[in-house]
Amino acid sequence: MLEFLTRQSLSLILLSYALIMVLLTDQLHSVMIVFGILCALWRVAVFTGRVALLNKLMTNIFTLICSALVITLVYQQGMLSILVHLVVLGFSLKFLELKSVRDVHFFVNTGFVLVALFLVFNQSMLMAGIAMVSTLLLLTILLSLHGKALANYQQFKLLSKMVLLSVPLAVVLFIVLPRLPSMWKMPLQNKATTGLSDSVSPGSIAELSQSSELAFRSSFDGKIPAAAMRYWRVLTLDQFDGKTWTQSSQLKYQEEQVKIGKGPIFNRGSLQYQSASTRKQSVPTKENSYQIIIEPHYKHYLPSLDFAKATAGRILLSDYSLRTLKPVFKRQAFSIDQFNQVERSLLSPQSLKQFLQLPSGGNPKTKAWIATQQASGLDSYSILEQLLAKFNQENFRYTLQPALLGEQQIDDFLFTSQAGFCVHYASTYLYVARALNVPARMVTGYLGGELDSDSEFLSVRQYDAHAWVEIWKNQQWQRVDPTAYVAPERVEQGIMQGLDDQSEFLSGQYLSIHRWQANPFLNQLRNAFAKADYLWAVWVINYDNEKQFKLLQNLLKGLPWLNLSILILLLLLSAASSLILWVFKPWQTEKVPTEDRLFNKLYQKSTQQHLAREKGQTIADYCQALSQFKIEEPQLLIDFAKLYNQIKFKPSLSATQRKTLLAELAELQKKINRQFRKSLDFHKNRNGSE
Amino acid sequence: MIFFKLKALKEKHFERWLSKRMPTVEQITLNRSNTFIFPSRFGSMLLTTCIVMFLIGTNYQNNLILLLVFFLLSFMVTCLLFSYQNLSGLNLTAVDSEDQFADQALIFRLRVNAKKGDAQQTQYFFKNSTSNINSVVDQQSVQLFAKSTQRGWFKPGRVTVQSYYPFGLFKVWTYLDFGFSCLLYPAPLENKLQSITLSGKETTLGGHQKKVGFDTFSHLKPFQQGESLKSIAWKQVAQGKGFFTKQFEQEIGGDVYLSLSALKGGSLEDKLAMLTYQVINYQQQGVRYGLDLDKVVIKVDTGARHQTICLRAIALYGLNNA
Repeated sequence: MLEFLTRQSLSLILLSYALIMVLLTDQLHSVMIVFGILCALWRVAVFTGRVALLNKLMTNIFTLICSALVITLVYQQGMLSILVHLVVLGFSLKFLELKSVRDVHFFVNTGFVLVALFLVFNQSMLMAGIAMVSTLLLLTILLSLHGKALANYQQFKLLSKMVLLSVPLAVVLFIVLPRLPSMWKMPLQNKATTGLSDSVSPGSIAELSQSSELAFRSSFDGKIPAAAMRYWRVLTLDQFDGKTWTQSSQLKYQEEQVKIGKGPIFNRGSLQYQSASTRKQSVPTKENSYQIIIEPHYKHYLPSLDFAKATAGRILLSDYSLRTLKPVFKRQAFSIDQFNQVERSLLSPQSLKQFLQLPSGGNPKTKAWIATQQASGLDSYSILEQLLAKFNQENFRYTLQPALLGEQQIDDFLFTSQAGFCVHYASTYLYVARALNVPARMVTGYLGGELDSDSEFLSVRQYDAHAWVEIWKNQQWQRVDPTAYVAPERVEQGIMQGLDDQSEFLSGQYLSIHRWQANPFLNQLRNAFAKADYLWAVWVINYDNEKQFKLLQNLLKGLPWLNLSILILLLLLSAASSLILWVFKPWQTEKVPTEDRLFNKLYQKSTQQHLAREKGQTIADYCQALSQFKIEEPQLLIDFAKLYNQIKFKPSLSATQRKTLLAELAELQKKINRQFRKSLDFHKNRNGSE
Repeated sequence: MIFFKLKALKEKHFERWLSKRMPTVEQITLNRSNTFIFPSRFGSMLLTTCIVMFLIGTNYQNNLILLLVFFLLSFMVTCLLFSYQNLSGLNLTAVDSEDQFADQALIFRLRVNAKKGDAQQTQYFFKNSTSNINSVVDQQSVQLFAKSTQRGWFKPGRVTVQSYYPFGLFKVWTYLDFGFSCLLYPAPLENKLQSITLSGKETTLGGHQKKVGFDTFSHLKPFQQGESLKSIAWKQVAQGKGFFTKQFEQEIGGDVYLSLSALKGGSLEDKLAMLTYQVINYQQQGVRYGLDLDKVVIKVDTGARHQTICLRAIALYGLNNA
């Protein structure tokens, strides 16, 4: 039954099936994966002759049942997930019933679609490479089917040749074809990723710190700010229940509004709270601007440095955090302007209440400590400074693996364990501030980021996640980072340097290249890879009409006589024509030996004498026959044939001898042709005179 | 109905166009002017897939998917060139075919001359295929098969040469007219040899002679050691009469005349088929025979040439394109 499939094709099919299923593992329901494994096992069993393939009716029934099952299984995960699952199902079932070449064609086609769907979710260079490998594998299946007679190495050679030849045209198409806007809204998949969430309890950021996954990259138009200034704001938390910091209902409402695409823009929405005094403030000026290439996190968060403004496609919340209109579901680039300040506004009584909110009761020791400080006559801000001094001077430790805290979290931390992570310090500071009637909120985001070797861009990873505090002082929010008083290295250099015990850094990930920052070679490698990945993100993944226009314009600058459309046409034409030239190699025409060329010249003339050379007639015989015709010196023809044979069939001739003989032959040929012409003219004249 | 008529009309037009564009040749080298190339079913399927993927890529604003689409399109262009290159330069020469029998696999031959590595996975078959087996291809030649039940001149028509090499994305094909034709003898119809034995004057041997043979049973003979067990008359053994062997004989004739009019029963085609059988049979037995087909009379003779003349006369009996 499988006669049309060679063993090689079948192994290739099996291999590509396995590869594509592995690629899509993240997107697939576990039942689907089990189903895929069963399919593969069945296929192998069929191949070894243990079981038979399903018949047509059974296959149809099976398909219907499976589709229904799959839809019910993944219905809640959205359209995209259903789509992926259905295509995978079709792919698997086709894989089961390969009965003809057409089935294989269908299989390969579905494979291409799955590779494309895989690219919806994965865009890193490595993943793109793997996708390319799967594409090539699928093409190899075709080759093994339609080029059976070729040996393996020939197939490999042909495929690589064709792929190499196809690349230039593909690249030109990629560069010059304009990008169309989205035609309709595509379903997106909600996916859990590592990243900041809208609630923070001690420990949740510590978890993030175990991930070396890239959060985003950024490059600056102006000077890159110092490490201690790189506080990337993502979201603020202002509701505390004694354990966990979350967003208040007001903020949550704003986030919900963002999701349906009509978020409040702080610059406008807050005007009503502006007092006379704040109207006199200076206008915010632009300080710097930067690009952010953010990794897909399937949320609306957009990290920004203080302070950003809302521009098209973005929303600024009341806490200055930026949001995107659409969730970031692929690596995406944003450019953001940094301002030195925001238009100030007063706190509404309602928000003031929120920023002073604390759970009632609890943490008696902390409250007692505050009371003693107050009793000694210090004002609120001085007490807060006292707290920071306490962090700095007492035996506080900065660690990713703190002891678990009891019911009275703040008390426990401040007086017992004295070991914790940024959230512990921020949370404690916040608690004390609010207890002192200082409006305060927690800000979570990222701090720092690593510069690449050429200082072109920053890579911010999940382990750079950080939490700090903002307090309302002098009619504006001011940043306080309590962690800086415990572990200043965390702020200035990064998390690894900040830790008291550096072995805690990425302790679960022995293989992570980021864990071994001390090794110079690995570091270099890491840097090179980061750089390539950055360029990939900027020039491939985020290549858009704007970049295209710039690039083509740059090309045009050097060649002022060109215009854009001609340039595009030229690029396409040159790619296509070079391909054609390379395939057909017109310069590799068969070389006709000189003696044969001479004979052909002679023959062209002689056919006018109505004597064609018969099939299989040797040149000598032909010349003999020709010499019977009216020609002044028939001997010339005999000589020609003799000389021709001598040149053609005498291998002992040296190069110089050959040359002289060829010259002689050419001389003879000219003479003969002249005589032919003469006799022809003669005949003509005679005919004319008659 | 109208649909079929239109289809037939289209076919006719196409045939006329073909015969103008590619007239009958004995030898042909495939090139731009005589080959067709078009995306195969799979090729068009892939193009559709590319459109779908382009939509996905555009809607997700995903450059990598677009890159994949562009690569596949570009690959198809490369494939187009390679597909064409595979068949271009293929040189085919028709080999004259000999007379054959109707109702049997008819073989027509082409000599193939291709550059090394070219003309991979090429299929050859008659455009109007009549046989289950299409062709047998080897390094230098192709045997094309056809089938016909009709005696007389047979023209298998144009030869389709096609290939999906190397990726099945494109079909490169051509319809070549090599002017193949061969004379088909009627398929021999086995029958009892009936013939008019010639009078003594006209024969060389006169009368009937018989020799031991296989055709008809003549008599029983006592069994001798060494004789084939197959020829033992088991019936007689069972009857207790002892062991006998069956003896067969066949006629070796004097000269015979095979006559169409002398054959009784059956249609004209059947009669001609019978005559064909007889001609072959007499030729094998070495009997001298003549043939009388009303209008055509062939004198008694023997030999391969004589047989051919007779068979040809039978094959062409009553056909005007003789």
